[in-house]
Amino acid sequence: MISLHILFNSIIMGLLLGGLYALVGLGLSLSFGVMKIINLAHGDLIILSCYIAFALQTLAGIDPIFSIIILSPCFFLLGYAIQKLIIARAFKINPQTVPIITFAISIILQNTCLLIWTPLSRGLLTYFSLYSLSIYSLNIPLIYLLDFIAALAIMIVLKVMLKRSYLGVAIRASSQDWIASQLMGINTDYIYAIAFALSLAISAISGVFLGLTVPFTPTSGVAYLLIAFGIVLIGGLGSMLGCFLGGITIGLIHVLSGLILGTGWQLFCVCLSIILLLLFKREVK
Amino acid sequence: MILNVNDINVYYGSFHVLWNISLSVNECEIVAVLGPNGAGKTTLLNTIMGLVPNKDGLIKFKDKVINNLKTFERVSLGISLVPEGKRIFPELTVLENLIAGSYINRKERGKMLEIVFTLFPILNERKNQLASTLSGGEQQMLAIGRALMMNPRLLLLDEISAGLAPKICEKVFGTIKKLAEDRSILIVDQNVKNVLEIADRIYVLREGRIVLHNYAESITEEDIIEAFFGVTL
Amino acid sequence: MPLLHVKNLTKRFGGLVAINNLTFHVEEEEILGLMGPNGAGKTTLFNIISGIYKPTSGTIEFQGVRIDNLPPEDIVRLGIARTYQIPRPFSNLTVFENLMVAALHGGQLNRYEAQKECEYILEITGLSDKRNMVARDLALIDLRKLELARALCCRPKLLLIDEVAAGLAPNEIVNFQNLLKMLKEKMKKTIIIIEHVISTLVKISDRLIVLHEGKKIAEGKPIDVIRDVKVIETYLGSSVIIERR
Repeated sequence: MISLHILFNSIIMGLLLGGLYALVGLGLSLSFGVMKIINLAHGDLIILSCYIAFALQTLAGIDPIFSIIILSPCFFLLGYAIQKLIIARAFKINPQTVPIITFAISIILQNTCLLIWTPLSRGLLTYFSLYSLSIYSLNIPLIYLLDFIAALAIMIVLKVMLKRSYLGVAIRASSQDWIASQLMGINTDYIYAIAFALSLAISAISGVFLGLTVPFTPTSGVAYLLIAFGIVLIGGLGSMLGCFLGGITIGLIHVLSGLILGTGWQLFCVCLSIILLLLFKREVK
Repeated sequence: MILNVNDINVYYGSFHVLWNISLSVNECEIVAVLGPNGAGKTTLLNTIMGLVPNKDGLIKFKDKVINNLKTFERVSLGISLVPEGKRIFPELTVLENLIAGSYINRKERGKMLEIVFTLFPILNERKNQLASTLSGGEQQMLAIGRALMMNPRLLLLDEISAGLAPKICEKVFGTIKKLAEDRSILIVDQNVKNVLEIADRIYVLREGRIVLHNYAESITEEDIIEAFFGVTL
Repeated sequence: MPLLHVKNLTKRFGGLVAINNLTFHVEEEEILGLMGPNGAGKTTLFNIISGIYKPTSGTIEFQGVRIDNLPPEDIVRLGIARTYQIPRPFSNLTVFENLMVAALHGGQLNRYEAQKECEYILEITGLSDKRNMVARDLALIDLRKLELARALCCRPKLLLIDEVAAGLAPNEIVNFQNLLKMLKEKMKKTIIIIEHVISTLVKISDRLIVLHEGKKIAEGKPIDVIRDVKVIETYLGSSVIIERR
């Protein structure tokens, strides 16, 4: 029998860990949920961020938290370039080539990371990586709390940007009717590039937090891609809050299934629950 | 002359859609392009906006050649189009649609919102509703209001009477007449009567060619019917 | 007896009534013009006559025989051929080969007769010098002529022609008008023609029918029909355009 105390502890941990899943989903929520760009390299780009942060740490001694300041702008530029130079051109030829092209990028990324860093499992460490918070009788890894705060912050920033800024209106308008958007004087090519760039900037941040929380390998991205799509679809396309809540839900399921069934069952339960939730989903806006 | 279209030809693939079209619009003038289905009226407006390319010929707005500019660049010069089918943003609210319209005219947003809400009070009532929940007539008003938000010097209107009840149609056309006090209007429509009541000059387009061009007050009913059908009565 | 008699024809697509209780006939060696705004049901009518759609109710008689329950191939063999608004030739075959297919199968001729027929039709449609050109390389007017020539190779009594003039230069349109007149006078064909270029219809039709929302709203001599108040209302939005000031 599981004691109530352990159960309660696990629920809190699950909610906070959910922040990590939300982080994984938020970048995709912008690129796919809002802009409808099918980026099959999403998971691998997050993992790429993990590895570059790893390299910065092992070669230059830069703490992962600080490497966010370097990585996020770099990934922003990378995203801008990928959209402008590759995805936009593929889309013009035939919209259906976009998933194929991003899939190709995914394979290139996975194999590059494999070549450089070997299949060995890696992790990121910061000085508080092993800290745990003891609040009352709860025992919570600090990193989980940071995951949650980061996800919440990014979700709020995105939500406010999309709803209240001209950029946000332009992004949403361009995804609904790009001709009408052009007629509003909106440079839709530029807006698509900016949106994708933002998506990657978020993924860079997600990557660092991911690497701090769990171990990663060159092929870890695949599972996260699937989970990200699942969370975005459950939360509702275009809803940042929905994505966040979806992530929290998945985090809960992750921890509780580990508690009740064992760690081997966690990924299985996560994926199964995504399927079940998709069958019974409701819109959250 | 605020708009000068000079001898343009437009093709869809190898299909010659517009043949040597020349037309002009002056300051604070309402110019109408009439014609039967398939004559090329929408194509003409889309070409002026840059949504469709034109081979040869020149398009000049305020004496600036705009042939090679992208659509959004032409818009920022002061031309606005209310497109066929309205094309409002379905998942934005009425207010957000109007804000999108002020993308290149942010300073005047408050002032233009007031003007739009005065012209179309129903939009104010429904300002927080999703645009897709509006009726056809309300969506048409939203499309016009949205185009007005950028305070254009030249407003292009494509088939705004389509699907509108006659009473609402009259109201909208009355509004158009008022708008022409401060800007120029180029209107394309199949409803000849409503257009003739407000236009200063008329072009009739048939099978991609201009077959009639005259001041509205000088045009007879026979002229129009003959121009539409291509036969002498 | 009229060559084609359409009686009380109605066609529904779900809740949409495309053709509404339509009755008309075509006499032999007549050119009947068919006009109407977009969505009036003109092409649908052709699709029903040629057997692609079955009517919801009503009948079609060709030379006294009911054809509304026959498959398209049988209708062609009985002597009705049609062209399409967007030409659909066999793009990888030459002009001559395209015609041969029609003559052998639609016209049910043997090899030798088919060849002679094709030569003849190439000549009267003015395609002789293009006989070895591959269909996809043809200019618009020649594609339209090929459509017509292919229909002729089936040796029809009744030709259903769906738009010839759109996108053609004025001299090309006159060319076609003369061709159609020749088909009626010399080759004794009967023609029903859909056209948006109304001047063409008025010039070559013996009679004109106007459809609007699946119903016949006017019928008679071209010059009378286009003056008809209902027709003007349909095309211009109202019958009184200019209020007398």
